[in-house]
Amino acid sequence: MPSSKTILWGYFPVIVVTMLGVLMTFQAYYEVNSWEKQRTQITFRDASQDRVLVVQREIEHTLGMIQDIASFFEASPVVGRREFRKFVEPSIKRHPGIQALAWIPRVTSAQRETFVSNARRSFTPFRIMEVDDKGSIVTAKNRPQYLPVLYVQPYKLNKELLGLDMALDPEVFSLLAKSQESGQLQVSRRIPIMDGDIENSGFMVAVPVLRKLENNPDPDSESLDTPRKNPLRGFALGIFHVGDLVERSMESLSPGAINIRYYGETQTGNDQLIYSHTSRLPPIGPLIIRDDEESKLQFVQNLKLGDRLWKIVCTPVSGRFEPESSSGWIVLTSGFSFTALLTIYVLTLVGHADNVEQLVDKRTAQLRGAVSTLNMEIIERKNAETELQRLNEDLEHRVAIRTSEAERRAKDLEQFAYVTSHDLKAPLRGIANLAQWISDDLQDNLNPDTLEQLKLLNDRVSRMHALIEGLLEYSRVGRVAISYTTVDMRQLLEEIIDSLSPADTFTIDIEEDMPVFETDRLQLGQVFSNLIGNSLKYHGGKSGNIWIRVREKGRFFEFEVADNGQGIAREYHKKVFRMFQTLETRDYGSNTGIGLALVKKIVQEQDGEITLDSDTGKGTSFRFTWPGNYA
Amino acid sequence: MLDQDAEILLVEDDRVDIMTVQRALKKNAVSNPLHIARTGLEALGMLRGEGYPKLDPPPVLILLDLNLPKMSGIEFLREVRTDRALKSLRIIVLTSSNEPRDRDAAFQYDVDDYIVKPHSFDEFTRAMATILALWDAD
Repeated sequence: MPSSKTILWGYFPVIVVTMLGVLMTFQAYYEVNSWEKQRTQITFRDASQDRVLVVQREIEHTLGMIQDIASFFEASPVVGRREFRKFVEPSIKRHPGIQALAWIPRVTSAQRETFVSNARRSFTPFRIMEVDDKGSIVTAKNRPQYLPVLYVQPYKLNKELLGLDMALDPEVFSLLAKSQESGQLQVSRRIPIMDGDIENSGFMVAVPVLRKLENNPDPDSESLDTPRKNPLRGFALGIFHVGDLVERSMESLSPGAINIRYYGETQTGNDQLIYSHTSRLPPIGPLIIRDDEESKLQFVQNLKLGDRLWKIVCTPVSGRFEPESSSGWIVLTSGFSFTALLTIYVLTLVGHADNVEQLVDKRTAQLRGAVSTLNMEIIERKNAETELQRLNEDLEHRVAIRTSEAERRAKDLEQFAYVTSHDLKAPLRGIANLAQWISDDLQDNLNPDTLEQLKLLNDRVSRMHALIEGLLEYSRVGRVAISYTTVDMRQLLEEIIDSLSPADTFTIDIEEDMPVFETDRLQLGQVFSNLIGNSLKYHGGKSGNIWIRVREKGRFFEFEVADNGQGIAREYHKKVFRMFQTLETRDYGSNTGIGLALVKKIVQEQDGEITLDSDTGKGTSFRFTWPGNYA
Repeated sequence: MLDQDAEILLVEDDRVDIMTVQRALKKNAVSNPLHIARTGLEALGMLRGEGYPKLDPPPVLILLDLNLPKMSGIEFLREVRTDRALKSLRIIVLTSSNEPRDRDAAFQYDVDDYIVKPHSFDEFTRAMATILALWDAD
């Protein structure tokens, strides 16, 4: 079973993938946004720069225009009204921002009359004028010098300026003085240009024009303030409408959605809004008011107008130059979607892996179980085998021990039987002899009772002797080495029958084909002697027949000793082969009960078998098998 | 017939058996001197002139029981047959053992006869008569 820890570890990749996905999505979102912002900024900056450049060029062109006028005057000692008009007219047509282009000569009091008369040649009502305290334009009073506007174009816009002494206008005068002082072009601060009630921003540009001394040294010339080497001739002055100028320049560019504000410096050093250009493109969407200064898209550049600096501030139209947030959102959305998909995929994978792992675990466990079961079985079998082997060995060992024990005991018993019977024989013989000698020595002095008793004593001794002999024979079977000799069965049987001395009333019939073969004559003789002896002894009748037959049975002979005697009841068949078992009274002759036991032992010792076929009144037949030739 | 004065040595430890031999000899009317040794060792002493009585000249016949104390009949036979002076003595084994083992051992030492003591005295007497008769024939 997989633990919960394993499951957690199994889902670790999912968590990692998800977190990585989210992180990377955010990163991408941020990057895209930042890139988008940067791109927007760059686009905005480029657009702004383009605009600033265009405006700068326009302004430079404008300033150049004044410079050209100055140069024109410097080049020509005398410039007529028509000449001036012709010179400036193309520029005025091209540049709608030009409010006025004027030539302002310096006129001393001494030169006033000449000057005025000369001016009246081309413009009859010309006179040097000034604005009085009431605001009315009046003929100028006598002063050491005058700076009247001699020529001005476009005339219709500026006809009130003609003849007006600029020296009295502090704004203009300071500019002119400054330009004379520096000897260079000077640009004024913002000036208001009234268009009806609307105040527009404008600025003035002045360039001083000096007399050419080498050609025409003017002894009378005096500087207004300091310059002495070059006597001042006059000033080229331009008045420009900032709005028109800027808008004119913007025309060359396609709408850029950029608002441009122009700032000039006030006397106090503060920024003063000169002009605000509003893009021709309208704002998009809701008005975005940014409090965050950093994120405020803005392009600032300084514009040089002579010695003066203008600050140009470009800002995007609300809703324009906004970073393409949609791409960020797209990235975010697709990133999350991808992460989700990847998570699901990895989850599935992990699930699969988990399933597979679980399956593998399960199978492995099953396999392990099977293997361990198998191992256990093998071990059990081995144990069982070992146990069996041990038991077998044990059994064999025990059997061997028991066998040897049994053999030893049997031998001991046989030895005991032998020794006992042997040792019993001597004293028994002694008793027999002593009884014999008593009866012999006291023969005439013994009464019949004593004689009878001595006879009984002799009988018992005889029986004991027979018993001992039987035991000895019995114990000798298997103990004495078998000696093989060629035995003629017929001859052996005749010898036995002769030794048994049967009564004449008994006929013993020996079958014709008795074999001649190698065997233990003594043992075989013992068997026949007992069997034939038994038949004679227990026949039960005064006369009888005994048959001795043989037939081959494999490598054995089966001998039969049969009689027509009283027979043996079936219930005694097993008993007759037992030691000391007799069916007759003990008084009956040398009936020891050893005979058939001995016979059976001898036969079995020869790997043969003995069987009894008999019943009461039907005679008795003993059959036993005996091995044939050993050759 | 056995020489009247020829001595017979009976090596036997059982008194009844000794009596049996004596009676059997008497019944067979043999009156030759019969010396009795109760053990094989005693018999050897007599024969070698170390014990009492000294049998010199040696007995014409030794009747030997096998089951004897101290020195068995078979051991006695070995001693006698390995003794240069004694090895030609006539020895008849008289024993109650009918064992082939004993019989073989006895004949191995060149005994003149091996008689299993019969159970009845009459048989024994007949057996003794046979021995003495055979003696005659010799």
